[in-house]
Amino acid sequence: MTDVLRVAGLTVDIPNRDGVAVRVLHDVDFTVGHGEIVGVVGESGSGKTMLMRSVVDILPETAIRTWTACEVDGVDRTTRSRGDRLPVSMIFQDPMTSLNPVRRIGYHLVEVIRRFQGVTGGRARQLGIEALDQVGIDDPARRFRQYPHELSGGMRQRVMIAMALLAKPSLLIADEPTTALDVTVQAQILDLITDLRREARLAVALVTHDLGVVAGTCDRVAVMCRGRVVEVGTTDEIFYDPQHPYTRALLAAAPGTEAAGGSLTVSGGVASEWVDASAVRVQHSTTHASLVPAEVAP
Amino acid sequence: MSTLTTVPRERRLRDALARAPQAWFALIFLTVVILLSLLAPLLPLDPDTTDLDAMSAPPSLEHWFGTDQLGRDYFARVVFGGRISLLVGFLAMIAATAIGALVGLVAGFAHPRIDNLLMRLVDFLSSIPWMILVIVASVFLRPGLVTIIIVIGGFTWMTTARLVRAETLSVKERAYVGYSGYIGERAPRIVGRHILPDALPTILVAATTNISQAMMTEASLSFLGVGIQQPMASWGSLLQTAQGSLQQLPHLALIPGLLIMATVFSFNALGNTLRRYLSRGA
Amino acid sequence: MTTASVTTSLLSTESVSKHFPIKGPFGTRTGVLKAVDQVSLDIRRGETLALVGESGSGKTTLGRCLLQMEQVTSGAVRYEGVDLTALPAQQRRPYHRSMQVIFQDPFSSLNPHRTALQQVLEPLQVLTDEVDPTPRALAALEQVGITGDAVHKYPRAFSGGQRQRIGIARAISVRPAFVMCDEPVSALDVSIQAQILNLLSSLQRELGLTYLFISHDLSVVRHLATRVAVMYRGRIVELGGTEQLFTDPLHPYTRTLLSAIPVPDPRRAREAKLLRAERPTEWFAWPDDPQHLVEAAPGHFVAG
Repeated sequence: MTDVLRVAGLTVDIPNRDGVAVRVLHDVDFTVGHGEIVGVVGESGSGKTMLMRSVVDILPETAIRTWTACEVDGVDRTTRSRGDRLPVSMIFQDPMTSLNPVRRIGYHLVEVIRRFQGVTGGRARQLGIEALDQVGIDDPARRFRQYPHELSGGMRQRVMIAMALLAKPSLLIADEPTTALDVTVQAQILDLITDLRREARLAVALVTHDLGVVAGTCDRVAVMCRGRVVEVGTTDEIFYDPQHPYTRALLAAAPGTEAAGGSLTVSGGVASEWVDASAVRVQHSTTHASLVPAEVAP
Repeated sequence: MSTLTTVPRERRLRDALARAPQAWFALIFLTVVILLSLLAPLLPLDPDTTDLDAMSAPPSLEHWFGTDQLGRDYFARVVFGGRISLLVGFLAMIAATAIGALVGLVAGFAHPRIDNLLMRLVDFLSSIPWMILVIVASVFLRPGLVTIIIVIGGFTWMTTARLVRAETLSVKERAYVGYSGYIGERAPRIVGRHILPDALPTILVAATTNISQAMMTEASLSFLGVGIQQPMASWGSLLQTAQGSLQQLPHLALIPGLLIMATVFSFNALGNTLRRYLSRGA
Repeated sequence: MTTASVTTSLLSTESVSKHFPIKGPFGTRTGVLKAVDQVSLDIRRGETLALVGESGSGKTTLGRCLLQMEQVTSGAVRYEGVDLTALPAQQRRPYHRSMQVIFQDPFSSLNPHRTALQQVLEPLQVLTDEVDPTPRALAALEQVGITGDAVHKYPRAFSGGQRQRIGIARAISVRPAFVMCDEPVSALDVSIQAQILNLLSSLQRELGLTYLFISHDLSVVRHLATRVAVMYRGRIVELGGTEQLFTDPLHPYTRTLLSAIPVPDPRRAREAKLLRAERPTEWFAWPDDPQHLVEAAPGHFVAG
């Protein structure tokens, strides 16, 4: 079974104000298998968002991207033109600004349905309401008619997920989808994503800086630092047997991890400060693209 | 999570100027004009003496801008006219900006009732066509330099007030302003120390708009005859006297007209550059 | 009802409510938002009481009511027994010296046009009669780790953590008895949070401070707080000793909150997820009138 997403040798340079090219991604390999939730974790500036933007082509205009491979659903996409649709959907961090405030929720949903499923009118409306129900929104018919400001942040993010799913993607990219939300709402949204993964056989790439989110939601994890992937492995491997010094430092700085001994350690600074840019990358031997996560019995 | 990168000041100024070559023109042009206006009395220029031999003469080496219908050296008249135009513009701008800033700060900071009252006043004054205002004012006050400064300064402050009020309202919400109020600082102190520094950029940019607007207004009023009166001259009044011989002596209208345009444009260009420079700051 | 002897209670609220009118079109009053709903709370001398809740819980509003930054709609706020809500503004001023505040956002809590020293001097100049408060201001800054030439720098020269330190120096310079910390580390990187929390902890010991620590992050609170009050929709739903609350949460909302905290430990995270699946939120009854807190175990109260 081919991977849903396979990226190899991705390098992105962005010229800064003085015209000097800054390397934001350095020879990055990244794969997501079917039905997997892969977490991409790192501090700000690690390149995790840039990686996702490279896949869906929303890099800054001045960015220069080179890669040896980019396959989605086994199809080579390195020379993709604007018209070729990519079966990838993406949701972003701030649910407050992702919806048009002067349009109803239904409008947003129908727009996606019309574009990606070619359905209009009453049937589209029906599909939209079903989508709202699928993401756990109560009283979906009423919500369909409401405006964004009438919904809470968590509900808006659910709407975004519904919209993303209506495009029938093979891969869902979630870029810090819960950072702006309250902790109980965050848990609900992450549980929703995990459930949808099972129900819709969806593959997910989850970008976050929060190790707790990763531990609770992801099957595999890619740790990034300064534009490089420094370690990849299953969640258990990364948390209980971290190999790379940066991964260890990251875990040590997060309160509540085993590495931290469950207490607040004073790390005295950003962990990436001392990491050598040419650090060796570590790949756990059990990593396999088509790894299906062991399901915990409900 | 986001890293706030602040570009150094000198760099920002250079960028702002680089992106707007018109700002260079504006700077140079205004410097020349202002210098000439300031030094005018010291220069060998005589705007009043009539030279009956060279009436209505076109530009020549002797009279750089030619002469007007009464044989007066036009270059001298334009320079002295510019003096008056700039003076009116500057003083009216000071008045309008000061009143506008004061009203804006008070309205933004004080109790909502006071804010409402002041804003209704602003709305009321804004809704009256200024032409009517000016003409009515001219009836009660003798037309002249002082009157026109009062009229322009007194009726163009409203936009500045709105802008400053908006800025005040947003700055007022910041934690450090709330803290000052909490520890018991007096209102004028809070406004002066915590709000004004942030409102200053807005006020400065408004000032540049005010001066160009004031000069335009003065030119219009003088052109209509209700502004600067003879024997004083401003560019606007020069335009008025040039009307009569527009066909034969186009330079009499063109020169002050172009100068008014260029000056207004320059102040606006500077204002834009200033705004861009200030808005990129942290 | 929480019981406390007058001698140990520093600051307390009695049935405090803060209502905000909801305006419909044309400014008509269509309803009321009960940001704080009849909260009675008691902060003991020397303790760190954590006030925990999510957005909309009313925790920040309650904190502001305590400090009289907001006027309460009803109820009383007592400092050492004196009802602050009944005092005219003039007479309240000396209390503002005893009760200080540290804000959440390191960027908007300091005036960008004034130096660190000037900002720390401000409360000293306004609240005390000292002729030259500069030495005190410098001492406060030194206590938080800002020394030498740095005191003359402007906020933009400092990092987020350092700005918070300046804010802390400003609060302690007047030697208050009580400090309200409004999410002081929420806007900081995780690695810096620990430093600031340790600083607050050591300052509490050195200066004998009492803290009200407002936070949405339970894990941050665990290390600093002696007691925790959990707020939800304007009411306190649970109140107890820190460890008591964490190991034996009684109210369904507290349990939901605890199980929702992302734990960077995959095994524990999986357990928490099972817990959440069993117990959907909002199944606890929400009566119109807030219920009294019932003492379920010594010192451990639940909305009952």
